Amino acid sequence: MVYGSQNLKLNNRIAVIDYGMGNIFSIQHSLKYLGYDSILTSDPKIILSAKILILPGVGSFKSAMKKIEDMRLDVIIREAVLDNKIPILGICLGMQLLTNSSTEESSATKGLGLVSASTIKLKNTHQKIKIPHIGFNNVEFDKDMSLFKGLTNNLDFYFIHSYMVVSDSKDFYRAYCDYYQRFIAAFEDNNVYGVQFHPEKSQENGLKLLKNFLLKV
Amino acid sequence: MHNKEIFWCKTCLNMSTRNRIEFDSDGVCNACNWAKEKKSLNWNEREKELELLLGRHKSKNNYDVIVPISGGKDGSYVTYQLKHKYGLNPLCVTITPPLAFDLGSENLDNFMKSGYDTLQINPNYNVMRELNKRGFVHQGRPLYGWTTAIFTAVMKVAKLHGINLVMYGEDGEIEYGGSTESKNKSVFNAEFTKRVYLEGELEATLSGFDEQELFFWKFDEGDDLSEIELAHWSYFESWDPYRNYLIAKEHMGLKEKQGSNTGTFTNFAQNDNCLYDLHTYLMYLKFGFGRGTQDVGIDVRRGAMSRDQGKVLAQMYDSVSPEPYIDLYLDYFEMTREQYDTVIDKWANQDLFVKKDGIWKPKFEIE
Amino acid sequence: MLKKRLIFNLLHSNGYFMLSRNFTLQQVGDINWLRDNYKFWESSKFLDEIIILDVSRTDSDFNKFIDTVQNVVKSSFIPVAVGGGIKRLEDVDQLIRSGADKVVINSMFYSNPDEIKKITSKYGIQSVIASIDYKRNKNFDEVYINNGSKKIEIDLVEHIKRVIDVGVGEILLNSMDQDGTGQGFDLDVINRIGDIKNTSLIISGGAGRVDHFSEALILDYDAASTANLFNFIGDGLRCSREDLMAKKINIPVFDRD
Repeated sequence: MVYGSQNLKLNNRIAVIDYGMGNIFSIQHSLKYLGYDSILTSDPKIILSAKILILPGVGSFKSAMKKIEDMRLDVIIREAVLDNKIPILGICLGMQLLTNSSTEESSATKGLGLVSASTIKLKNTHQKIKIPHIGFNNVEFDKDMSLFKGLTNNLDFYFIHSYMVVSDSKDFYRAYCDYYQRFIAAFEDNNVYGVQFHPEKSQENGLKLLKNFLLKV
Repeated sequence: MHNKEIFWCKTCLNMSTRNRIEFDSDGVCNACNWAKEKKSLNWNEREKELELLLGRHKSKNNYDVIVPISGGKDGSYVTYQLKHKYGLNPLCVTITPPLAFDLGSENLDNFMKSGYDTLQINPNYNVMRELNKRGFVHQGRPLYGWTTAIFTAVMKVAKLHGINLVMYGEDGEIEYGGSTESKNKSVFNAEFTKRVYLEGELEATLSGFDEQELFFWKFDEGDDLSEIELAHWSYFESWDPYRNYLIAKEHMGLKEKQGSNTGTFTNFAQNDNCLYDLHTYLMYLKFGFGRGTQDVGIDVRRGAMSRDQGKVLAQMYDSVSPEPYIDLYLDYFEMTREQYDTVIDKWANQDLFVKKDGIWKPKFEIE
Repeated sequence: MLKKRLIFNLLHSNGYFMLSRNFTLQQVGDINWLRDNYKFWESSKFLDEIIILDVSRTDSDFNKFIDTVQNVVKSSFIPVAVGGGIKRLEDVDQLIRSGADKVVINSMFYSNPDEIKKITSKYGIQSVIASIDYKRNKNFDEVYINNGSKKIEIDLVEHIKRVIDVGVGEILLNSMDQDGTGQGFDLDVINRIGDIKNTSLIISGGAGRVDHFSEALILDYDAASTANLFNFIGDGLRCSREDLMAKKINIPVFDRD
């Protein structure tokens, strides 16, 4: 969904990064429902001047990084986030892409490296565990996190993933999920935000979280 | 609106206005109580009674039993059981309905093509039409001529062919709500039934015709039916309309309507003629419950729906007027729309309904 | 803890939503009917997931279906799985772009499992739900494809093994015998299918009353799905959710002001 070029400046507030992967329709619709227009784009000019960036993602880390690198979006995103300090929210695979690397199959793939965390496979730690992790699960969060402002603790969000984000730094576990193993459900690190779950698919609480993120601007 | 005089069955939605319906001290109707009883009834004994009955009538060189059918699920099911489970030789009898649906004709065709001897009777079209019209205007029963003919014609065929057993599908009073008088009666005498059935308005309604034209509506002195026995299949086997539908579908190629029938949410029952839709709409205006309520009752008693869920459906569907077919009715009855509306208005029970913006709306809410 | 899910299944055919009774379809109403009578967008607050299946028996209009998918996705904020007649990766691409989170695939598991691998390679096995229609037959269960019209030669246990080999995130078991009867799910099927390893199991077919879902979710099913458009009109979905909560079944908790 690309809006008319006359409105480009106005709509330049929220840019949903288009690298050909991700359920863009739902994300843009949720934003619209909350009262925000957004532009789906891979145009460096727009990304670098956006007020907010959203990095969606569905599928394989390796394929995603390849696409992103082929389109030079890795360089653009890093510049937008590190130099222009534009807030970015990575959703699901998008969150994983923000990390340093992922160990998919036998080799590691480099990520965008914007947070001190990495992506590894969910471990088969229990006979009852079902991988991929599909469904609603509760997230315990630190009430000081801006993403979760106004939400009561331990609400359920929608997860659908086979890989999880982990970190050596305890600071990254302010919002976690326990699925026979603890992983990072969401992080906020300066202007870099990530959520493993899909806020656009988590009923009211998901929408509230999205709104919290958008209100940061 | 608080309803003081009318009330609903506590477990299904049957209304107190339904003719002859009985409620127990807990406010549960006889159909629901019977549905409960059916679960623990000794059906083996009932089957033995059936076998005795059928044994009495099994013939070597003639039909043993008449099954009144329409091509729909119920008559088809009964025929199927009689022929294939009990080895009888049924003669099916159908009276062509007025304003038949193509689907109805197709279903009847498929039934016959499945290999069941069928006598298809077409009583004088004009007489039937006039009787249906009189029924519509004077009794709010637009199928009066047809339903009377069904009874009489079946009896006459039985007499003519010397077949002394007529097997109906279900006893509606027992299964759907009404008098429980004959609950424990397995067999009825046709002569007795004839007298009861033909009391009332029939004489008046039949005036003005030649005797010869009324063959399918009147009995003569010589029509002594005391040899003939009538029974309901629902006495001998637990009656389940949905099961009947599945069997008819599998073995006789029964087809459903594409969408719901008017006034309800089902599409697989009573598909033979569109006057039935007018009949059930009038039932709604006269008594306060329509086809939707009846279908809800069946599903609630089958355990397929809760009463609360049924309430929503009944409220949505009961009041639907058969608008799609009104032109057909006007043409058939040779009436104008104004005349038709006058008849409808006449039969609407003004204790229960009020006309708003040209539509009859219920004054009550199902409780 | 991973929660169980209450799923509603919309059966779509050429712009209409359908009711299925033992796999025979009845037309109910279009999207306006759904909006007005069902107040579906209100009711979706009581659901955890929506499945939309295109069940057209004749040539279906894919574009009309995409329209319907988008309309449903726009009106709810829960996962939406979409399927019905998916034949190739390109179909999946289009559906995901149009708002589907997952796809539901049935016949392809039997007729073209290689194509499924293409889909899961691109989108991950979590993006595919394997839907299986089955009928009981004395000591085993028969499997049908093509909208329940064609019986395949392998039984349910064998078919499930093959499905798991191909690789899926979830399996949806749909009882053709129970379908539309309102008499409840075929709760026993989980005992007849052998080890499904780590795959999630969704049970479908037969729900008619609000208490049918708890009967299933109290057992090892991960989710229960109904396509019964009539029976859950009005308060039906809310009451179903309340029934699950009253029976302390672990379903998602959303922030409700």
